[in-house]
Amino acid sequence: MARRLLPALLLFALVTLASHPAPPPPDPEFRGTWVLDDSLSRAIDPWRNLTVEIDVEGDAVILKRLWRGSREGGASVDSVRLVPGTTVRSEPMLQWPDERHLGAYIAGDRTKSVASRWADDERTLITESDFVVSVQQGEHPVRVYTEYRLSPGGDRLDVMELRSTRPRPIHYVFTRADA
Amino acid sequence: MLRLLSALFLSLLLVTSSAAQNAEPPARDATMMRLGENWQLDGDLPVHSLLISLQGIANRAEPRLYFIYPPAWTFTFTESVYDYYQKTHHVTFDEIDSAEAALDRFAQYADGYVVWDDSVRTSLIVAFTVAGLENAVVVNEALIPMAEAHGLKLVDDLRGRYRGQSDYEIYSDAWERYGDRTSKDFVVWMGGVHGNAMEPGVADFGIYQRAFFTDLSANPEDADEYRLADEVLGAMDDGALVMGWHSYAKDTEGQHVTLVSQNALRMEGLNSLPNTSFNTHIPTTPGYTFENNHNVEPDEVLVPRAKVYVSAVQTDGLGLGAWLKPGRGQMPYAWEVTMNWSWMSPALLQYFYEQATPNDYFIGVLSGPGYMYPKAIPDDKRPLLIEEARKLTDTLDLRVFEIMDYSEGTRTLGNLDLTKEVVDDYYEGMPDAIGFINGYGPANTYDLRDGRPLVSFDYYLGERRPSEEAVADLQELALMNPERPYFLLLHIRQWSTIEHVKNILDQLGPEFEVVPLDTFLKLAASQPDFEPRYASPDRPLTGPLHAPGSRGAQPQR
Repeated sequence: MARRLLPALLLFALVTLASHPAPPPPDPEFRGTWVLDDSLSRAIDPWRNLTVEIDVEGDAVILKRLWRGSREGGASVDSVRLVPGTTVRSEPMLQWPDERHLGAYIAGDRTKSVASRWADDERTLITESDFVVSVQQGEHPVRVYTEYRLSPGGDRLDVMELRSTRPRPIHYVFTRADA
Repeated sequence: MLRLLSALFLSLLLVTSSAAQNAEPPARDATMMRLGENWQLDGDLPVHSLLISLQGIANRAEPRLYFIYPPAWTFTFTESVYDYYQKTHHVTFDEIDSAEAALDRFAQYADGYVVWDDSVRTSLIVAFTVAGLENAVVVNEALIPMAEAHGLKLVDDLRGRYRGQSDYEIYSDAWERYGDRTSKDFVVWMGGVHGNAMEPGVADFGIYQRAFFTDLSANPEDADEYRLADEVLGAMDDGALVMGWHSYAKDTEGQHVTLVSQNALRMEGLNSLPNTSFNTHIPTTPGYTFENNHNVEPDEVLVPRAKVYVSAVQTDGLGLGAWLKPGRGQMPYAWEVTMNWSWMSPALLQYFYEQATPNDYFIGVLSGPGYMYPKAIPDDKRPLLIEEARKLTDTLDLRVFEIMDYSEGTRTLGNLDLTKEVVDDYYEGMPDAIGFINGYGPANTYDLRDGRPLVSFDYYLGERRPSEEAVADLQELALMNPERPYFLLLHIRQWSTIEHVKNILDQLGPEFEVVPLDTFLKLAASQPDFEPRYASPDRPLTGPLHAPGSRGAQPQR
């Protein structure tokens, strides 16, 4: 039953995507550098801080996460040029920075596949990422659903993540760097 | 090679065998003083430095002066060991409470004083070198009257000599003046905290050994200091010990230990290590042998079940962290033994072994006979250092050995993995080890040869990690590694208490089972959930690579 339904669902998804209107222009309020409010966010140790830089070029949204460690810890960048409504590849990553306490390392071509779309009158950016990590028992796929949700006042960015491998949701809160 | 180690190993055997002829340790009288919490240059550091230098001199021939350090001191055992020495080693202490009183008793063992310059912090580090060579105490200008009131004469005056000079210039001068006379078996890096503070707990032992003191940078970007540091380390004899710690203001642990390793030397930390000039005179009690709490026999075969097997190892060695905190003994825990204490502070190590509960399991560390990075050690020296480490594991009844290598980065960013050639050397050099563990933070090197696994840490638990996130971390690892059994090795930062760790592990559910490390390795040997893998060229090297041009920077095979 499921096997017969799958092609139909795929066809429906393709038609839906093809008939989808051009993605709306991103809300300019997303632009800028966002700084983690660690008092309201989940712990990011061993990193010391995390910033998200968002820029807009035409229909594209450039999303860059910068993780900074101690003097010994260095820094790590996770960057992707999104075109909402499509699926793109991220820049190759030096490592998987999200959970540095875990023995899990970015594998394959070291990139993520990232689909994205706007929601809530362009006040929310939704991404869905797929990538592969190398772990003790070999390689394992990871899927991450993320919402970047702009506050009504445009001064706060809530980032909520559900990861296929993690039982606990993740919530980061950012404020504008120039606030 | 390694004449020093062999001699010390032999002397340890002699001490043990001669002492065994007596039923009880000899009674000793000694003096104890409590040191305060202020280690600021413009606070109590001058007096503390005077006292620690006096300790190194007073203890040259026998153990006379012991300090109890403040509760916040990095090494937490000084008060407890003070009690232990009285009860077990028949040391009777008389307490004093001032530098005046200390000089009253022990100035007779000094030949004079050296004056350091209050306005040049580095001059105090140079003064420690002079103190060892001239059998002198270190004083600043304000303490000169106290020293002279106790009959001490000026032997060297650093006031004004180094004003306006860089550390490179100061240490160049010191190395030229004193380097020929200082020990080639010990050198002290008086690093750690910086700025207006210094915590020179190890200075007594450096003075006792007439070591050269420095805190030169091992950061290749500090080209002059780096070159001089390399020169100083290169002047040491094979197998020499680098005591102390790197300066937090100048370089990183990884850079420092890499340079030490490139010179085929090893570290013994920290700059705050207390009372070693005293402890080195206290042997183990007559007839004592170090016995570990083994949970399996070397040739035993265990069959795992479909579980997530968890084993916990505390980071950073004995004497730091959770040993004296509540909770020890409540769950299986592995402790990294500072192996050189077996000859450097034997009774101190006996203190730990005697306190161990059945759940406390000792393992050998860290990469060699001391702290070193095997990838940075020249290839022809590595087997010899591993052999010295093996001897220490024999003495201390240690069957598991831990390897760590930050020469290409750290736990946050870098390559902690071992090359196959390095792994080969450990398997060949430690044939009696039942297994090896690797990393600090998680690493990705695995092996299994002749029933002896090498397992890397798969999780690092920092002391600030919230319990709910740590639980989710471990559950996530179990989802990412779906086969059962899964062998999940934890490295627990020493500042975490065992109660905290137990609270986390208790939330994981019945699929998880915490086992002692030797049991863990035996189970993994029977049904490994990993394929052998090593550092290889297709893994990008993301850390600070070996700096070109250093003495030890030789091509790795």
